[in-house]
Parts: sequence; C-alpha cells; structure tokens
Amino acid sequence: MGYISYPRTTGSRQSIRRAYELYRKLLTLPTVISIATLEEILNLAYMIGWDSLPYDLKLKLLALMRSTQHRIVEQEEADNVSEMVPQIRDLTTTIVDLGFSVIGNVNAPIIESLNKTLLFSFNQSPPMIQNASPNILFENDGLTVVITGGTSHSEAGLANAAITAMNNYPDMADAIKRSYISGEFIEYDVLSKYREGPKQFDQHSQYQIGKIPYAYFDEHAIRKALINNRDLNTDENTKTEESKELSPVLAIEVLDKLDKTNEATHADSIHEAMNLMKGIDADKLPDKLKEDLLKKLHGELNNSLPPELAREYQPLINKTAIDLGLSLAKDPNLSIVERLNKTGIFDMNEIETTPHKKRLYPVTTTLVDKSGMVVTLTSRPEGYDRETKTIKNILNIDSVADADINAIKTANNAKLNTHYDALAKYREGNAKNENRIGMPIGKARFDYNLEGLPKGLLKNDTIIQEVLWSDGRDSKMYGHKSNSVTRPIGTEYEHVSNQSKFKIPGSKKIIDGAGNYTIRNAFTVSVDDSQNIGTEHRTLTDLDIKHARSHSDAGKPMTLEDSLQNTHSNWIEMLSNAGTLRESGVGKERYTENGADIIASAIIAGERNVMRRLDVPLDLEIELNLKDTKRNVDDSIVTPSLTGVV
Amino acid sequence: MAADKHQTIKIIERAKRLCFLMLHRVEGTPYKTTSSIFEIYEGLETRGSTNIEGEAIFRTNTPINDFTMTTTGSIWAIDVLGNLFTDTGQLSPLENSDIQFESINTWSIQNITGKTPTCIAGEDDDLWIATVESNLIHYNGTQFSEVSFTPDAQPVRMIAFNKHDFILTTFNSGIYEYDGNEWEKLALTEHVPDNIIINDVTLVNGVRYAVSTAGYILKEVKEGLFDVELYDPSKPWYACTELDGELYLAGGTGGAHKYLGNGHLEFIKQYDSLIGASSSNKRLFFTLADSITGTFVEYTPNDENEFSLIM
Repeated sequence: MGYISYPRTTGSRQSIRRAYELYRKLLTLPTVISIATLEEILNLAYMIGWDSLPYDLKLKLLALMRSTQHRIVEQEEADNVSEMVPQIRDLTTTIVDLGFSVIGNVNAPIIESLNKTLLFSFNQSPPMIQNASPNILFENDGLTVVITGGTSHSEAGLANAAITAMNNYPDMADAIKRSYISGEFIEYDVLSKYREGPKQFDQHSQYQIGKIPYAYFDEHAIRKALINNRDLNTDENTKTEESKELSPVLAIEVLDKLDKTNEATHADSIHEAMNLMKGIDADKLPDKLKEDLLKKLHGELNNSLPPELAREYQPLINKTAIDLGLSLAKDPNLSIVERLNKTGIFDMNEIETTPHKKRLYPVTTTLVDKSGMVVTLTSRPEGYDRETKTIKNILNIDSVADADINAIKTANNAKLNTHYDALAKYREGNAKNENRIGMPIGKARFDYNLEGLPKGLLKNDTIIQEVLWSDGRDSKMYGHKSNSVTRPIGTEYEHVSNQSKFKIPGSKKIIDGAGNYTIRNAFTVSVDDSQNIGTEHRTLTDLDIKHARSHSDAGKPMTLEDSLQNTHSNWIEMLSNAGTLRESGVGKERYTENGADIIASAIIAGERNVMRRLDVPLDLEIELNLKDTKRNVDDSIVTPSLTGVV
Repeated sequence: MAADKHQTIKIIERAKRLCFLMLHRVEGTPYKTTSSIFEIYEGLETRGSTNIEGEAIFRTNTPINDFTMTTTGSIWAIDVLGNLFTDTGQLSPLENSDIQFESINTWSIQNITGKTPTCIAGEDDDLWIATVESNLIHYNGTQFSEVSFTPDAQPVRMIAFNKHDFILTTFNSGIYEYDGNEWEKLALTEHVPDNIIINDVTLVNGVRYAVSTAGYILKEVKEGLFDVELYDPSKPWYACTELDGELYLAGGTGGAHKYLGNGHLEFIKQYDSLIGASSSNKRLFFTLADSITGTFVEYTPNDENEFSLIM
C-alpha cells in the first residue's frame, strides 16, 4: 500500500545512526536495484525520525533518495516492467515526508518552500478547471502529490484520486497518468504528524493546530480536514483554546468561499462562509489576514448582500469587522472609534443618543461609518435596555453631519443598525442573578477581567456603567429619578467632583464659567455612605479635602482637571486598600492596583463625559469651600429623642 | 436654610456623660458643613419613651471629623480645617476668624495645624491627633508638637486604652502602638494581607482584637503580634467594641454580631447598615449609614435583642 505512517522511533541519536547507515547504503547502490535492496532502504528509512536529524544530513539524504528514485523509474521504463510500483510509491511518500521535514515550519507557500531545496521542481500554478481545489503538486515528468488532510489508504482510492486530478487538470492529464503508472503519484497526508492520538485520519481527529506551519492553511484540503465536523463554538465565554486556534484556518476558508461566490452559488457560499465566520477569534489571526478579511467584510460584502441575507448576517459581519479592527489597532488608551479609524479602513463618527434630552448620562453611542455601516455599542450580552435608535434621540443633533443622519435612517429602515457588545471578550463567567439592591431590578451582574480591560474602552457611557455595575456600584445623573434603581441601604450617590466646588461660597449659585452645570445634572456614583471613620464616603472626603487644602495652602489655584486627576488617584487608593465590601458576595474582595485603576478610570471617564456635555471647561478654577460662613449654626437644630424600638 | 441631612458618626458614654457627634448638611453644600455635639441627660432607661432629655451642647459651622471624651468627661473635637475645640477652656481663643461656634458652657478653640486632622483620642494632658497627611500631633496640656514619626499609610482611627496607651490604625494593615515613649508598628503574621484597612481595635479580657471591612477579625496572639482569628470576605467589619468581657462587632448591612471565640459568631440583629460601635459599662451603641435623620441605635445585651432608635 502506498502509505507510510510517521516513524515511531523518535530517539534522536538512534535516528542519526540509522540515517548514516541509510546514507552509506544509498551511496553504494549496485548498478541494478532489486526489490530487496529497495525494501531494505525503505525499512531503514521507516525507522528514522526525520525531524531529529541535522538539516544538512536531511538535505543529503533527500538528494540521494531522489536520484535513487529516478534510477529505479528509468530502470523499470527501460525494462518495460512495473514490478516495483508499490515500493516506488513508498519511496515517493518517504521523499515527500523528508522534503516537508527539510522545509520545516515555514510560512512561505508549500510549493515555493519545497522548490527552494532545489530537489523538487513543482509547477507554480498548473492550469485547472474552475473551482477545483488547488491541492495538487506537479512536476513535469516527475512526482504528482495530492495534498490531503488524510489519505484513502487503498489502491482504488488512489486510482479515484488520480482520475479526479486528471479531470480537474485536463492539461496535466497525461503527466498525471504517467506518474500514476510509474508509482510517482501519491496522496500525502501533511497533517499526520500534527494529529493527537492515532496518527491516522478520522473525522474526530484532534490537531495540535498551533504547531501546523501557517502555509499549510492555504491548502483547501488541509483546511477541510481541520474544520471537518468541528463544533464551531461561537460563545465568547466558553470558546476553548483549541477552537480559537482554528481561527486562521476559518478566516482563510471564509475568504476563499467569498472569493469563489458566483451568482449561482452565491447564497450557499454566503451561508457557509458566515457559519464558519462565527468561530473566528480576531486576536488569533496574523495582522495580514485580519486586514484581508476586514477589507472583504467592510468593502465588498458590506451593503452588497441581498436584503434577506443582510438581515441575517449584517450583525455578524459588523461584529466581526469591529473585532478585526480593534484587534488590528490595539492601543489600549484609544477609544473604540479612535482605534477603528486608526486602521485606515474605517472612517467613523460617534453619534450620541439619549431617550430624554435632559438625560446626559448614560447616553448610548452609535458608530456611523462612511461605508454606511451603523453599529450601536452595548456592553451587555442581551443588548442594552436604554438603547435608542431613532433620529429624534440624537443628542446635539445640530452638530451631526447630514450624511451620518441619513446613514442611520437607512440602516434603521433596513433593520441593519446592529449591536456590538464591546465587553464580550472581557466577561468572566455567567450572569449572576443576585437581585441586588443598587442594580436595576431583574438585571444580572457580571464579573470582568479588569486587569485585561483596555482603558480606552471606558470612554463610552454604556461601558462605564457596566464596569461599575460589575463592582456592585450604580452610576447616574444626581437628579435623574429612575424607577428601576433603588438607593441601596447604606449607600449614597456621591458627586464625583464635590458639588460645593461649583458653588459660590455661602450661596446656592453656581460659579461663573461652569457651563450648564447644576447639582442635579452632575454625575454621581454610589458609595458606602457615612462620614464615619473607615467608610468609602469618609475616605474619599478626607482625601479630597487634603488635596483642596494643599492647593489653598500653596496659593495654587485648582482647576477642574487638577481635581479630576486627584479624584482618580483617591479612588484608586480607596478601592485598592480600603475598598469595603458593600454587601455579601458582591464586588471584588479587594482590587489590585490595576483593577482599582480601571474602576477609578471608569468613574472619571463618566465624569468627563458629563462635564463635556454640560460644557464645563476643564481649566475652570474651582475651590472646595470647607466652612459655611453665611450659615447660622442654629440652622441645624434638632432635638434628641427616642424614635422607637425595632 | 435648614439642614436636610443629618448623620450621627460617633457616640461616647463615659464618666457619666453620654455625648454624640452629628453632622448636618444642605443638598449641594460641602460634605459635612455644620456639626453638633449633643448630650443626652436622661431618659434612655425607659423603653419606648419619647421623653429623652438632651440638647446640642456645641455647634460650629465647620465639619468636625472626630471627637473624644476623656476619662474625666471633658470633650475634645477636631475639624477638617485643623481647629481643635474643647469644653475645658484650655485653649487660646482664636482671633479674627470666620469660624463660628455656639455652646452651652464655655468652649475654647485653637487652630493647631495646617494639615487635615482625621482622628483624635486621649486625656486633657495627653492628646493624640492624626492627619490624613499621616502626621501625628501631640498635646501635653500646654503645648502642641508634631512628632517626627509618621505611619506609612493613611491614618484611620485613634484609640486610647487605660488613659495613656494609644493605638493608631491605618490603611495597608497598619496597627501602631504608643508605649509612652515612641510609636511602633505592631507585627502581623504572614496570614494577614499587607493591604487591608484596619478599621478598629478593642481590648477584651486583656487581649487586643482588630477588625477590617475586608472581612478580617485579627487577634493579638502574643505581645505585639496579630494573627487572623476569622476571615469571611462577606462580612465587612466596620467597628468593634467590648462590653462585659465580650467582643461586639458592627458588620454593615450584615448586622451586629457577638464574637464567641474559636471562629464562632453570634448574629444579634440587623438594621440599616451598622458602621460604628461603642459601649459604656452597660450598653452598646451602633452608628448607622443613614445620612438623613441622624438616627443611631442603642442596644442592651440580654434585652430581647431589641434595638432602640435614638433621634
């Protein structure tokens, strides 16, 4: 049979010893090579693990084996016999095996790499009929190697493979026939040595995908074997490492399928390609492939699908395109839109929408691309319950370009304004249905990998709100009443920048230059209340006062920016150290400094967003007024009493 | 402009006086604005009675961060601006100041630091004050001095034992002791994390216990060495106190507990969020996170587990 399974002997020293023995044998072959001699050679070769040999030795052996093969084939032709065809096939397989070991883990195309050894001369692009799989390596008057991800192991299977090859490559039919007759036509299972467990192919085979040379993925047959029957797990949370490793294979197959679509096969190819695309993890692709796939999705495929396909697949196309874009531009300090635009492929604007004109937090962000792609950012698997998609919900509509408004209208009408769950890949574990006070009723809480979360993501309100919820902490505009959120026992909605910084001392009036700031439309987050020693509120208060006093003592004016930066570090200090447990089982026990930095960054980012919407300049000079000189101390009269027994 | 939020943050019953500190504010004013110290004269013994006799004995227009009562019953209070107030008349009156205060009897005031005091404890002639900036200030009855020693993390609470022994707790697992001569950081076993806040320390039958909102109860296992006695991350211990040889704990929304030893806790009762604890020789007080009414809780052990709400 024309199949040699991969040598089991892997001892390196033994292999080298045997390799020299083989080398000597090949150098001293008799003029006429008998079947016995050839079988001796094959038996010896079978015992050698090629990969453990030095490169030069492999190359010398390959040269000698190829010349031996020429001699045997010529010998048979001269004698007009075909006695040694099975052995010649084994020899061909051994040669190809050795050839692949010589080229090693290359990223250049297989043909190019094999030819570089100067011991093969495969044709670069043999003419083939349309849609045939380009997985056959030809030499003129030499080897024909069908690259497979598994072999048929039978004479009939090999004959079928030869007939298929002749049909697919009519121009090469004679050469294929000649090589089949001479024993130089083989099927070669390149995945054999990357298979876990039994090396022989079956449909449940598992592969060490990370070790397979990247160039192999260009071969359709290899991709097919790898993808075959694989459960394409599309749930970000439970994707296994193995299924993620398959991403490049899937991406190349998707591109291949999309490239080959024609009118007759269009819908089927799209269905197949999209099904495979669900399994792609953008971060597992090399940049070139990310870019190729992104250009395909963003350029050709976007807005070109028939309506029924678009409705089905636009969410996936948009999600994958944004995943790819974010994976290409990883700068952790840039916002989502900044990163996407940095790829040079997207050209996006951020449009903010809100259900009520007076609600400036949390606003929803919709990304509108010049290509017409419209994506609304969310931070929950189920979408976002305050999402707003109509034109009338756009905040500051006067500053939004007509083109963007039209793009949103078009996308909304076609139901192609899709969601992008920006926190999906940082979410850990399942929803926790704790029915917590502080969380909107019925809303589950999630944990996130805060250490890995890029700070730039925290520029969008929905993400800020979700990250704070993960900490069991609600955030809202102070005066915004929400029926679905109750004030948890023992907590207080704390103004992130203390409100007294914006008031004229001893007066209710807001200082000049503070834009549209009011106490009620400022940004607040819930903290453990009380000015009692050791609580969150007291700790933040004391640290804020300390900062304000350091400014006033030094006669140095404090700007809003100074205050924000200081508040940021106060929160880090409080969370990473004194961060208290608000309720049993909620929030992280204590944060690492990085984790605390992410929560603190979310809080400050929310504050900056609201200040921007209120037109409060960051260089506004503010001061913390620590005594109420206008107030009569009698105003605070209360009389102690016993109010009850509980 | 009446204050619309009140919060009681500390209650002390000592030397036959029962006083508490309350902060008042109007929406949109600084965190603490005006402050009052109240005294209850009588009425607490009668359950369900509304006839509590008491009044505000001191008010000021600045935010008071902490107050203490000495073993003789005199009161010392410190505000965030570095002003010290007392009803002893010991301090030099402040001149040309826009600090207002009103009091029953004679109080005196003196600005003692440009830093931001956060906690205070001691006697008329041996008073310790710690600031947010980690400075320690001592008063010997006539003079103030800033000591050269500084704890390496932000101070949280100053506690006095037996008149002249002091403990200062801080962030980063700091428990500092003053032995009459110098401040010294007490040791922790390797089981105690080095970055938890130490919220409170108390003495029970000659053994010191420390608690943290990170869920730890620490016990002094030998002189100057604390080990973890009990750890439960779901229990934020805000404060602890001793009564009749028993350790009582304030556990936020987890409620009040008594520690029975050997890792066993007895749940007493929950009301609002309990974030402070103190005791006299017959009863316990818990302060609440409630920042609207200024209510706090009185509890007498073995009294059918009833909480009396004061204010």
